[in-house]
Amino acid sequence: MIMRPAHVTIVVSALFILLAVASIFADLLPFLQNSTAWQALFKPDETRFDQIFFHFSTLPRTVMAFMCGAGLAVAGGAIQTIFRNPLASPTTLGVGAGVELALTIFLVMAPASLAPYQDIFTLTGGMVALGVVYLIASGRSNATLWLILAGMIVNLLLHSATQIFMLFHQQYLDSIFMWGAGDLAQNGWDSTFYLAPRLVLGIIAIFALVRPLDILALGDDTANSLGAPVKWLRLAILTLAVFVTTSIISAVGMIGFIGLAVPATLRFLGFNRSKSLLAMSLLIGGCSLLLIDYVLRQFSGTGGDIFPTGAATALIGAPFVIVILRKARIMPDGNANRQDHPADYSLAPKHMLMAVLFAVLLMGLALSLMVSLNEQSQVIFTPISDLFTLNSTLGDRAQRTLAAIVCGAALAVSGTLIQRVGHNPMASPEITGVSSATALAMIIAMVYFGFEGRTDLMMIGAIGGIIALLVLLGLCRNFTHAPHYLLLNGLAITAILGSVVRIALTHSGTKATMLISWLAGTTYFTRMDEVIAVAFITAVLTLLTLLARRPLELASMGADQAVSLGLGISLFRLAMMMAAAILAAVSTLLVGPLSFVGLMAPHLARIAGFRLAGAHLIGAILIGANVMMVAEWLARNMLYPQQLPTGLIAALIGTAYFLILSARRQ
Amino acid sequence: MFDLKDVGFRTEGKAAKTLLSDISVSFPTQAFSAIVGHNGSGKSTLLKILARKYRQFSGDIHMGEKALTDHSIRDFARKVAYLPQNPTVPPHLSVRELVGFGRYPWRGAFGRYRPVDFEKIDRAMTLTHIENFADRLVASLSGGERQRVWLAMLLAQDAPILLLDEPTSALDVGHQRDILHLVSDLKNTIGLTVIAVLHDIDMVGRFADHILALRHGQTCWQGDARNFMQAGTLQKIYDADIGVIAVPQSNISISYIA
Repeated sequence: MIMRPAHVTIVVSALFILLAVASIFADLLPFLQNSTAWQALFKPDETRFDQIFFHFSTLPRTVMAFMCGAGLAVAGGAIQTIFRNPLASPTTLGVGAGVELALTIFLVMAPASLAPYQDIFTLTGGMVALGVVYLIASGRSNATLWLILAGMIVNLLLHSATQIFMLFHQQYLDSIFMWGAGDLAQNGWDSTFYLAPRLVLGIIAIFALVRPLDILALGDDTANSLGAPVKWLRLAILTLAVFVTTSIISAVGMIGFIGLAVPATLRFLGFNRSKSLLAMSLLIGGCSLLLIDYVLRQFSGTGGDIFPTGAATALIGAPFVIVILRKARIMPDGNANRQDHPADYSLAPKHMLMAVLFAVLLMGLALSLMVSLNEQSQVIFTPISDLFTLNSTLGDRAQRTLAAIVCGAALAVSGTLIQRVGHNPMASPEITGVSSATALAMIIAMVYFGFEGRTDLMMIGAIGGIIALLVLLGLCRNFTHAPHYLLLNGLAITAILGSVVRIALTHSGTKATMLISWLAGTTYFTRMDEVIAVAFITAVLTLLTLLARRPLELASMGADQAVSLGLGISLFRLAMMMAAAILAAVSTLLVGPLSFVGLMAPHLARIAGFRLAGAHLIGAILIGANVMMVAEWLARNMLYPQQLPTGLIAALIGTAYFLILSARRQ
Repeated sequence: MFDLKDVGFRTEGKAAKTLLSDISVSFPTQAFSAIVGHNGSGKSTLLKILARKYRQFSGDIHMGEKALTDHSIRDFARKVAYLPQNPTVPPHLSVRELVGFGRYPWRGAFGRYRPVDFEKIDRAMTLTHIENFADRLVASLSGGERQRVWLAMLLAQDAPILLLDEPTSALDVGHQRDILHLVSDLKNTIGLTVIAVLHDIDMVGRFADHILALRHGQTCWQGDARNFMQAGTLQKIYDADIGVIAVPQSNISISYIA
């Protein structure tokens, strides 16, 4: 890029404005031809359907698209500047998901008299989500990375919470889906008039704060020494950005990636000062969404097929973000992750701890099978003799508990392999998108190609997971550097998954309920033969990786060193990644893609002092199995007779774990 | 041991740069060869080519009877031990465990370590004076200590050829001398072939048998230590005013900046 920003500004903005104006003219063309354009725009002839349609649907939709794009891009630009993080945005930091959950709850539960307080309620939802993300990430050595990681975790968690909530209120299901998928379709000017004043207010306020924003971009210390009240400024600007996002999401639902991609790209093009960055974000963001929506409208007319703009934006935006951020090299260096290892653990092997974990697992298994809660939260004890009766309760429970334990073990092995071979203590099947890709492949096969058999689905899912990993390996050349790319990839695939799921759900009707509860990770549909099959695969692959623990250890020294010592690293890495993908896929079929056991178990095992590859694997397996067992028991009994999804409970435990971890560090 | 003929190396990509061209040299067997030159002269690149880290070189390199690329990975690891400039430090390994990986080329992924392996590991640690922190984490050591641990791993590897990329950069003078002394001792007693990238002129003059000097990716000078420690040669290689004094009653010379 030799062009100076001044030229870039003119060229880029002219191009976008031209295109946007052209698209509006294309819509107006039929009216221009019979010179009723003026009429259609402002005073539609009520006997002419095309004029009415244009005035009350096309025109507000166009205005809406521009406003939403502009608002999200400005909010994204402000958030990125404040966190000094090119991957931050309303959707990646959990704000969107928080607002979504708050709004869903509000719409279903709140009495009509509370309607005026909807804004406050949703704003709180967004701020709380952002606060949690910030809490997890702050105080860590590489906050940039953790911020995005925490954002992903909170995002997934809130999404699944929203979905659970909808499970219990199925009568509202369809309309909430459409809204959640970011549907810009309008049938009047109501939403436009609802949104416009809020946006104008919020954006003007953000623009009024550009100078403080510039100072915040210098870093907290510098800003402090320049006399800026950092905390208050940050809170004020974030609140404004969240307010803008909240208003947009309330009006049209989730529209991902505009708020991430537009400001990030502009920064890459050389817009570094907040004022020009935000102004350009407003313009380009608005025009982009307008154009995307225009293109989508051309398809939606045929067959009445609905393809929500928000979901489509994520589909387009996710790969785009990967490309632009890779090119831009604005990622901070990946070396920082070393500091996350405390160098103070003792070298003694942890046989004792291993034995304790194993004993806990066995006792827990017995307890979780025999002890349960009834509707009044009273403890019920089922004697072991029940096992020999017909329709044994214990047998049913055993099936689900074993499924959870096996999946915990499989995910733990998968996570350990990815973390070790990828040199990345934060990687895991869930974070790198392998689980999501597995689920994605399965859903597409199920909804669009009519596959029903769970064995078929398992195979398809495994293939999906392996493809995702191979793409990942291709994108992150050698897989060694920059943990960011891993997260980026996971971010993109998860976003794509989210939008495909939404699109699929609006189509699938009857399967929707089952799909949702499976995505949230329920063991309810599990059958014993599947559990045995998955357990067998897990056992074989675990055994193989345990045998290969020496090269696995060697792989942690980096590719160069490993080759110098005679290990054909690329082949080995591929084999280990294949094993990880297969394990992630089979466990995804049983408990869904959501649980964070694959991230948490290896992490915990390492902190507990399981150092070398073999012990690390076994420790992670024991921890993963224990966590899933507890999660399964809670899911079964917490709201009995309602059955919660195990994966969601495991994810809750995982989030709690990271919150505690961050609290302890401060 | 290594015979190079017209070796060149270009980086890939849009802004391709020629890093090495027309290098023809024979590194003698069972001798200590040093590669010297100014920063960015291509020393490390050349060493990495010899260690098979870069594969897209032009020209022709033979190691022993066979072409460099014809050795299998395991076979090459048994013959050549390579120490990069900044090796990745695994955060969770102890010193003894790391040195133990030197036996990997011989035992592979599944082979049991035998008493002879443990003897070699112990001997390597004794030679490099790291027994005292055998049970500490490598990550907790200082730069110089780590460098000795890596060297111990290379020695445990038991390869007849050592490729060392600035093996003494983080060491104090005493340990620099110890390490280079050790390496040249091993050369004399068990016939190692050593090729090292070195910066310290006096250490090169003191320990190296054969010296290759690079300048902007091309051979600038090669010869033995006696001819290397001449003011004229050094001025030509480093493009700086360097003088040399011969220490009376010894065959040692020292350089100084004029």
